[in-house]
Amino acid sequence: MNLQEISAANSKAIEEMMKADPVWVDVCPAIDVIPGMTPKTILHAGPPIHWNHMCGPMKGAVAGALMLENLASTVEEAYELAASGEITFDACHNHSAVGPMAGVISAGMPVFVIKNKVQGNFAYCNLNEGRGKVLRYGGLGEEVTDRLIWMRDVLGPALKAAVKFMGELRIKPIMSEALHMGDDLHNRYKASSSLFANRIAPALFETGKNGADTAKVLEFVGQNDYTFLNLAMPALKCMADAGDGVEGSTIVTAMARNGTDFGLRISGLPGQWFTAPAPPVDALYFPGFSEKDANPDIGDSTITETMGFGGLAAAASPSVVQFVGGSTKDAVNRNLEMYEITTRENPEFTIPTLEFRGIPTGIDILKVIELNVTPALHTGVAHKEAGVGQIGAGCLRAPMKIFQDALQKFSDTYLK
Amino acid sequence: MIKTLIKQNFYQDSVKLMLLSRRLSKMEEIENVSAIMATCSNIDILKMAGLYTEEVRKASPDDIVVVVEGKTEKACALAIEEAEREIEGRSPGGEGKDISGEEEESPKSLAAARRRLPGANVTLISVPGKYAFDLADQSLDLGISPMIFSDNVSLEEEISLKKKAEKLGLIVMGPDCGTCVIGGACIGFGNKVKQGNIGIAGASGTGIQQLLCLLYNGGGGVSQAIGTGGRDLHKEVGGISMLAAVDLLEEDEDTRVLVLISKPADPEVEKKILQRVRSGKKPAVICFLGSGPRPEEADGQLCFEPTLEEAAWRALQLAGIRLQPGRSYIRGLYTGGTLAYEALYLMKQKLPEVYSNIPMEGIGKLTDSMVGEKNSVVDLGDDEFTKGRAHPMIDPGLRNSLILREALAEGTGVLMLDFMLGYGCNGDPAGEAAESLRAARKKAEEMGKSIRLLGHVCGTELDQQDLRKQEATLRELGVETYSSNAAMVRAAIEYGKREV
Amino acid sequence: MKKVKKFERVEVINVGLEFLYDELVKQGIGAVNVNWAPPAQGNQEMLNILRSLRSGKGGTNGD
Repeated sequence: MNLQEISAANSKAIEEMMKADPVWVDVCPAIDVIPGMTPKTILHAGPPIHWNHMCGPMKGAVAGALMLENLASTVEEAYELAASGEITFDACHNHSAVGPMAGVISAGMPVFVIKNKVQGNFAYCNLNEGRGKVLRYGGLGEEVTDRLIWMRDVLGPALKAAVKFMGELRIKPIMSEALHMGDDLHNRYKASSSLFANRIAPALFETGKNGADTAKVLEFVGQNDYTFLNLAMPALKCMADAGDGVEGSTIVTAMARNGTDFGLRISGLPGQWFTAPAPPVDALYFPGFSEKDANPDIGDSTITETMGFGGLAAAASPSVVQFVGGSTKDAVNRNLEMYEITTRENPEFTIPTLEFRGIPTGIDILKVIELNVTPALHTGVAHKEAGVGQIGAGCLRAPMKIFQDALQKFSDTYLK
Repeated sequence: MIKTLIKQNFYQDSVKLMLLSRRLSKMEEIENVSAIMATCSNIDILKMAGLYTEEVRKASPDDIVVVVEGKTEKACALAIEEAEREIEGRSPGGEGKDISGEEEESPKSLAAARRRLPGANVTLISVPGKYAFDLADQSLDLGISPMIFSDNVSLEEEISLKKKAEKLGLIVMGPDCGTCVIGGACIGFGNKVKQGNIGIAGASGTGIQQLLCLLYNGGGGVSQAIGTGGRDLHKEVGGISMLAAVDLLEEDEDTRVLVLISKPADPEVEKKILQRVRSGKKPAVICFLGSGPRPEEADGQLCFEPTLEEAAWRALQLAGIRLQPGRSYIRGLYTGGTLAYEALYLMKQKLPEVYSNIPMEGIGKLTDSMVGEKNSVVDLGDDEFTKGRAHPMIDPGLRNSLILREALAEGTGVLMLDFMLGYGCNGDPAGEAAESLRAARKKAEEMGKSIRLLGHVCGTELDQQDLRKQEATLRELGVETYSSNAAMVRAAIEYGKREV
Repeated sequence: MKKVKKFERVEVINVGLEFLYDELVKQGIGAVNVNWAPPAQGNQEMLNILRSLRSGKGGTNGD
């Protein structure tokens, strides 16, 4: 294996990724579609982690999911069950799925089904609950459970009917447009969520059986700034997976955090995780909170950076820019730096402030290590205690160690 | 103490409001701040933060709510005032920095640098030697010729880079290459020179610098100077970069003459290089220091010179810039008798046809003491000139009147002058000569002749005329000054020889 | 083997000593300075791997 061969492998991986065309085709209960899902499986964000090592918000989310699935009736019971070994925990990423923050997906939860029309692979993600007290931050209680039940019984079927009516909805054009409207597609989804609501509104009315329900569904989808997060993430997962498993490739195919560890996967070492402690976030905090309250970085949403959005497209999002360092020039500089650790520019997604340069795509761990520059990430910050929710947003850098470990393993694997 | 501000029907981005909160919370005696759009979920956050007030209850989701908690009424009032200013855009600015003066960050990799400078054709590498190889290698991959200023690059690495460059039609300048002149610019160490028609390929940085200076000071100009690194002509490297430089200079239409300089080269390598030069059409001066003059190999195209100085001189000659052929004679106009005698003594050992008004064995007698012949020295302090006239050390008028004619005389290439300082001597001998020297130079120029003016000032800094001032005056007039008479004479002889 | 092309003009990428870049700018030629740091921040293990990948050989390469 030499540099030329790696370079060729990387080109192949990135071309597959860019070629992929993810479309939204369905909403189904997780157990019906997610490979390897069982009634007692709980999927979570980030690299695989044992119950004992999960952070507060993730434990809370697991407990909420077990109660939602009627596997436990109280939080205490849920914690006991989770610790008993009866529950199978695994990373969403290991099942073609992704989830924001705790990223907890249980058997009965409705999930978006994203199909890649080119290579044929699928990806899945749960539905976004909105802001405030929500399960993905480990939020528990009646309010949370009631919303989840409504999502399962009303929202999911309504969206399913709508997408069946439409046939499919291409995700890339919405992402591309939203990038021009100030979304970074990681921390900010205002534009894309609105675009999405506009696209599906007619279908919701066409297929809705009950006017009040339809109105509520549309209100929920349209007014939640994060609705599209849960569609962009699986779409990008679909794209990333299309370039996974290319022999000899050093391109990153997943970055994900479980609130305890930060995990990395690369194309040439499919299925293998490289982990390091999840770093703290340099954040702006909501009123009344500070870094003392912050959980280490959490969520699969760094799939967006993996494909060139979020921190890798910082210059595209003036409002997120302020989290990143205060000035647009800083964001531009950060963005330019990201081009140095990536291999291609994706012409389908362009950044107006950079003269419509394509987003930096295909993070190459060789470049990351050589230049000692790790990907810049945008992120939301969860309270370290279950149930409090999001307390801020900011930016951070992926830890260098995971890239070094991956290169070491790559070398052990290929340089024999 | 809690105070509340409500801005009705006023929208601001949540990030902006969070930045405002952060700023206000840093104000003195402020303990807790919340700035939000009063949506239901945000009101919940206010409640959790213990900042829910009576006024907030009245706010609608389209209103901005700012609640501050502080130690004193005054602190809270100040914070609210500041909040109002900022919300209405009257504040000089929150945490956003003024971006007008900021530079775009430097790229970290060559690839990114090339994107910034798409026309880049040279990478100047001066990192520690052990890192230079990788960068040079990357540069070649980008199609850009590297100039490796760094030393401590291994021989293996050098060979590998140069072989790669050879395949790509690029050139590796270095390693340990201090000087290049390309496209009129000095890269690395280098002297500012005129653009011209002499091209240099050199395996020596300071050697190139010496040449640049000699060529400039001799009136010539340089098209390109390509450094190859000191080891290029070693057997192992095989002169790959020197060969490439020869090709490059051969192709460059601005280059009329090549100068190749190096320390002694491997014989096989040297042969290859000379062959390459011969396969081109341009005349070349070869100066491989220490390998000695080799007239037997010289032909119409190649000539060999033992020193950088002689190489420069030869190049100027080939480039058509040097003194005109035949203007080789040395003339001395002396005010000091012994100095004149010393000059004659040195000249007769090296030169044929030396004349003077003073008698000396092996020296011809001038027909007219005031008119020089071939190589000649006139002692203007001799008795025949001082009859009824002050000694020229006191009154240099007679010498000054001779300068013009001697400088322009047929065959004269070098004019030597002495300037005697001290008690009793003329108060400003250099200044007194100025007019004549200027006239001589001007006239020579008009005639298309070049003349070297050499001077020795015999004096000290303590003298009333001040040695430094006198020398400075002369140099300003284009006179090369020497610290001793003998040094001046030797230099004159060297200059004269080149004209033969 | 390709014949080396003459330099019609010069634009320089400078890596290393910054004053050399300043001198280029003073002469008014196109130049860009690379904000260089030792590769892999000098991490020898990583460097060895990068080197062996570059040379296409297994194991480590002499430094």
